[in-house]
Amino acid sequence: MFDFPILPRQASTIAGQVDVYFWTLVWLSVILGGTVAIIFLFFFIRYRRGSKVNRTLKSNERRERMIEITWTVLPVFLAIGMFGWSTTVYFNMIRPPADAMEIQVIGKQWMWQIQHSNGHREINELHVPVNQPVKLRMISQDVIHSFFVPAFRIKQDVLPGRYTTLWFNATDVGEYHLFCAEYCGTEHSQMTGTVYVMEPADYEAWLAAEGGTTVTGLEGESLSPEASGAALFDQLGCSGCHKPDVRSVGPALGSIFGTTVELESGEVVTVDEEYLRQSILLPNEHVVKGFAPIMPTFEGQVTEAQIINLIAYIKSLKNPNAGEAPPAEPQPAATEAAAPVETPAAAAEEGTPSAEVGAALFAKSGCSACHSVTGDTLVGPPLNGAFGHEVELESGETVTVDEAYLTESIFNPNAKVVKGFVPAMPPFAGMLSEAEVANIVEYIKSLGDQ
Amino acid sequence: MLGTKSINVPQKFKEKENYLNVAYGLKSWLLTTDHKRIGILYLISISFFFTVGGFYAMLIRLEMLTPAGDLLTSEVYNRTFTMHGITMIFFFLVPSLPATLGNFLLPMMLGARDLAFPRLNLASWYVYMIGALLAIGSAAIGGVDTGWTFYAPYSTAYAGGLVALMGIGIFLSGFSSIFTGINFIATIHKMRAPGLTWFRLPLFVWAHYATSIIMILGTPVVAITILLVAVERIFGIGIFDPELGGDPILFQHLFWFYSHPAVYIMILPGMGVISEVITTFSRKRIFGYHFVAFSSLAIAVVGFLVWGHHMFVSGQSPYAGIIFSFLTYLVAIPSAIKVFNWTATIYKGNITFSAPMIYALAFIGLFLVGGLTGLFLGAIATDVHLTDTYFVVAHFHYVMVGGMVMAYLAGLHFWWPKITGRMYPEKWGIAAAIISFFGFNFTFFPQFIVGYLGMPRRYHAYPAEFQIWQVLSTLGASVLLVGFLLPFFYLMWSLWKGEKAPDNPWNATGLEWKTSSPPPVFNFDKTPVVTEPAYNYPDLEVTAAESA
Repeated sequence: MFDFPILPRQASTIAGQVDVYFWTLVWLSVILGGTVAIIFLFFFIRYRRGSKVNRTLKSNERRERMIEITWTVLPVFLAIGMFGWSTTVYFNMIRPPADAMEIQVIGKQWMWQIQHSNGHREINELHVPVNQPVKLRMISQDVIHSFFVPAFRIKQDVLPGRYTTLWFNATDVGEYHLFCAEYCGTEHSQMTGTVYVMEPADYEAWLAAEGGTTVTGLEGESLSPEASGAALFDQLGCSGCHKPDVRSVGPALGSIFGTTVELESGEVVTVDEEYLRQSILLPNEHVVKGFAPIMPTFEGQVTEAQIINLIAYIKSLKNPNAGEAPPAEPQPAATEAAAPVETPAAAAEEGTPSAEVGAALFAKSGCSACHSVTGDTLVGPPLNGAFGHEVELESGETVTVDEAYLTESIFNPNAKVVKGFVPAMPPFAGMLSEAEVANIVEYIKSLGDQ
Repeated sequence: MLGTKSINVPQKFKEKENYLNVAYGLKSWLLTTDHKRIGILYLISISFFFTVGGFYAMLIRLEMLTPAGDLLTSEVYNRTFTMHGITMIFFFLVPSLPATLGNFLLPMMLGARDLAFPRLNLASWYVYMIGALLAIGSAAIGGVDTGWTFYAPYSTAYAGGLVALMGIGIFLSGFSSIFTGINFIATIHKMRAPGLTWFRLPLFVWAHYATSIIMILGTPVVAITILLVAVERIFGIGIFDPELGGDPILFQHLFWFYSHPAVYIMILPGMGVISEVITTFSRKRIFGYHFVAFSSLAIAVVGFLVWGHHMFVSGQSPYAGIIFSFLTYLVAIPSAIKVFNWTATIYKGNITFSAPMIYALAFIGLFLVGGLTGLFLGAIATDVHLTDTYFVVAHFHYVMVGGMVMAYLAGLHFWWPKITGRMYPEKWGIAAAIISFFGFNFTFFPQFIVGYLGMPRRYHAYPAEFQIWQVLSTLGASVLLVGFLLPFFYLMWSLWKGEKAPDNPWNATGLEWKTSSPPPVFNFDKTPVVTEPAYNYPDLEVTAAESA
């Protein structure tokens, strides 16, 4: 108890900048505040009742006003200067370098869960390499917390419902306090941890070692976040509507991360982590233009940690050769897909429409997500036995389901919607060629009755 | 000179009738509409709540002596700091000066018989008492552990305890502020004595005018915020909780929109007192009357534009943060101007070291530290590190206790003869001021250091390396306790044994000193007429203006 720490350690690239500003402000305060205090005290004593000093006051309204204006304007300039400097340091604090390695943080009452990019998990500890920019992506599972490392001079509130980020570049190997700095309930004082800054070699060794919990797959093998996310993607049925590189019921997700998309509202957004998370939990808020608002919400079915892994998987689709290779295209959960043909497009070019080719296209394009071939009514009408029959449309009109109707329904589906169904089918105009559609129509014809 | 004619009844024949002896009995107090008696009712109430809040403070300081959370369990500690904040802010500081000295003195300083709405004034005290007792009562049967800031979604979805009940108590007593603000503004506009123009008003009046504007514009916002918290908590309607589709940052915006201007409610009246005390005890007019008057208004207005500086790391937009930081730096300027003006006022004055003047001196020193440390928090670069640490705790105690409470005590001593008709014992007053000053610094300066080291606030268990600073702080608090207890005892003593006070013991300017101590029920025997500027102490020597 008897050592007197006065100065916190400086262990990050920003700490020095913050401290220079802090100590400058200390000296300015001591000098300016001290001067005023000393002058006040000096007058207080000098002009005490009974003291024999000159009290002749040559007061003059104009001179007084000049004095007032001077000691109003000068502090304003000083204030603007100090504000400007602080803002510059602040911009450095909030702009992470492009090569920052990302680590996920989940705060919950009353502990910190950290997940590294290879899936390595820690509780209340954060291991990072020295001299490497690190960006934390953080979210809370309950109330507001705050991630605070005094030695780095960084702090950021961790919110429920939304990601917040924080970056730092640790400059000194060592162990540093991690505190929760936003009151969060009973064990707030205990929601503390340690940041371990290690030499790069030590960090690699630690990361590779068995220590720290990793996500495990069904056979007990360790899964990276991307692999874990891939499995979830399948399990939760996402693959039913979202294909990697072709549009289906939902947009293709293969190269979408980081691009901008136009929404139904006309707004243009960037597909970043926050957008993906929102789309999983509140999918019909910001629907991509050209798609129907029919994605179900996964609120309550996925934890924040699982969302992080799903996002990692989607990000990895963009760059399949970076890091862990994603698994082979996940098998759709409940469709009647036949084995995919190597080049359905090439086969389609060969001339006669082929039901076999059409079947493969039917599966690949995601039709089976909404149209059953076994008589079930899903989002769209079942297609077995549909060909040749008459159907009533929403408009009251009756049509025969022939090649022309089927072709039109694929290219421009919402012109003639079958009665009792919603105009939710996306148009495949521009996505499938006429030859491909002919194959699909051939396939539907082949379905007959049962 | 003032055109007042007072009828001098020789003291030896009878005690002159005044507002204290005109009627006795509980009913005459509890149903009074006399602003002076209502001021006394408030004085008793806020002294009581200061004791309650101080008791919680003692528990906190005792717990913080050791790094382990060993004196109090986490649940109890969290409730303790919550109640310390709620009691001290809502039931002591916000009403303190305006409801006691403001109520008592404002009509007198204006030459009026009472406030514009005397019954509203009494209602304000009842509303305050009912709300405060409800809140303290709910603390006694379990209380809340949300902190006085009751952030959502913790307060709406996770906290146990009596959040809604506590909220209702605070909500009710908030109306007391609104009623007082309405009363003051109406009175200042409409009931000034003949000849008392705006720029002849004492600066105490200007300070209360600015405070009243904040009270009536800001308090409704926190009232509604409390209601929204209760609505979300009880009915599950999503406003702040993301699980229900709400936004937790919205809560913070609504809360701080009041709570930042509230801190100006908690300092402006004190600054008004300092202007009165410093002029009287240096026998000089204030330097730069207009600048001081307008600086109070500037603080009130700009003070409504800076609330986001409590939210720099909350997740609000960085660009919003930058604007709030800029305005925060600007709002410091009017306060600085006041300090410069007070310094220039005592220049070539004729200074008496009375207890009020020593308290004013203590105020200057402590307010300088408190105000300057606000700049560290207004700059985002340092605020990121310092926010939610003990640095903030030290900062606001320096301005609220070192500033406002010292100014309040200065005013209490200064007008004690007028209010009670008795002099307090001068030497005890000076001793208490000095002891408080040293005890205060000893308590709170170490907290700046431990905050910069990174110790978070609201922790009762902490790393051992911070202990030395917490021990020093607690030692200081025991000295401060003595400093604050002393006035309680000698002021009470003076009621029976204090020297009887003349009308104007300090030979001060100001209409309140032109009537007897204690004053008659309707303040003046005849409405005064004002023909002179404020603080018209004869200048010791004034030479003709020379063009510079």
